Amino acid sequence: MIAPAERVEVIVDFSGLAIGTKVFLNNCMVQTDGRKPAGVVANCATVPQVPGSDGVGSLLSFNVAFSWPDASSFTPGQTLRTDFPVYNPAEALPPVPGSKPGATHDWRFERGRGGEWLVNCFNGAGAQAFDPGPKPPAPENPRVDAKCKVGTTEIWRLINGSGGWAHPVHIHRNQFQILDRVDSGSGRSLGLLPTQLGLKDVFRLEQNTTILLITKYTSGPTSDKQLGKYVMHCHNVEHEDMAMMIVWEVTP
Amino acid sequence: MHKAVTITLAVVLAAATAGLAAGGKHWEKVPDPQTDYQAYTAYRLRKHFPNIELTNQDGKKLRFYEDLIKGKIVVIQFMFTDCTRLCPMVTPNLVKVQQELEKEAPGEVNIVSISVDPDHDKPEALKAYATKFHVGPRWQFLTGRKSDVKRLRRELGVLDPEETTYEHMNVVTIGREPTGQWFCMRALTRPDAIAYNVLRLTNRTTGSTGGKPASASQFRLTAGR
Repeated sequence: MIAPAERVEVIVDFSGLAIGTKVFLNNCMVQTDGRKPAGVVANCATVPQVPGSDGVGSLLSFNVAFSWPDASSFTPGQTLRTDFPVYNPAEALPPVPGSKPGATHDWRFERGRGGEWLVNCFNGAGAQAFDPGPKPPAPENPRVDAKCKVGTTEIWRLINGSGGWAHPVHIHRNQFQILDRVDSGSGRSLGLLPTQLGLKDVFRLEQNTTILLITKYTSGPTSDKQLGKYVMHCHNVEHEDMAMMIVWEVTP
Repeated sequence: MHKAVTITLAVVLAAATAGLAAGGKHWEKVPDPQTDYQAYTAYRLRKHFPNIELTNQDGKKLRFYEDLIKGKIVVIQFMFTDCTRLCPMVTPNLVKVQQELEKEAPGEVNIVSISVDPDHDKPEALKAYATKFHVGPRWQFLTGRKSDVKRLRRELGVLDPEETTYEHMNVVTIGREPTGQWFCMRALTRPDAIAYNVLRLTNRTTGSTGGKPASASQFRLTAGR
């Protein structure tokens, strides 16, 4: 399963198929309700071509139209990269006190006292929700929840301590790599899913699950340091509207 | 020339398909998403607004879709008069929102507060509540059948059926029915920020579309090509 707005890169091997074969990319996840999917259909090969009201059906079709001299850049089964992690955990800034496993920033995806979805709403200072700042034409000045120095490496921890919802979390600006995925209660490692390898900016934060991310706040390709304010938010639009969002700033 | 004809045909086919899918017994003209995306969105959303019967604080019977939101810009919120935790903070916050709205866009926005405890909240109780918080005109408090109200909350996406801790969520649903523009905000967001976002739906302020309904060209729809 991948979350709304989550992306994965896949390599499809068409080489064994006869010319004229049609190949379909199907959605097999049943969803009839805005809250969550209702499981996967038993036989994904026989779904209708036009998705019905449950969303099950073909999303893309490929026609195998001609053959090509074999110049494969890829051998099926081959490991594409072995140089992960691309960021070095040993370079990461010290963790915040009390965070286990160690992380520089802790983000809890949770409900506020009014049932609305927020990030870090119970942090000792009372309920805090995303604050957009003064209304225009005043300069945009949202509350900044974390400051990150350009050039440094940090570990973030995204925590879902409840059992009701998974949150598709989108972090702007940076690509992150998932170091570990653990049970929020016991802290036991659950291992990474196939869709969680590589560099990512959208993470499916499952129920009762914590993920540990690493990134480096690199500069832009030129002199542009890409300083400024960026957001992290739940990509479930209703949760985002309720203020499940934080602002983080890259500083010189 | 040939290309233009192809596009027109594709659009007609798409509209016909949508009409059949949504229609059933009788034919309703489906707005063309290529030329009026907002009307098309409004059409698609309409089925999510149950036209339930409600009674306002003056004892007047009103239909949710027909009388309260059709053709209007609205702020919808759920409450109950005995609420001691959230409503005593949310209602005064929305009073400030309404004052800002009436200053900037007089008469353009309605506030709709619906009781989640309708068996207890009779019109008299709602009237007393409205008086207590000095709410302005164009703000209705409504009661109805409990099952109807629950269905409405479900369709508006502000009901969590498995959640029993919260009687109602700290959320306002804000929308402009004719253009299908809807969003929600945390009800305790600072009032000027709520008002600013509501005003973006009115004709008098410059929103992302400069206050005009967005045209299909702005959305770069390419379906059917």
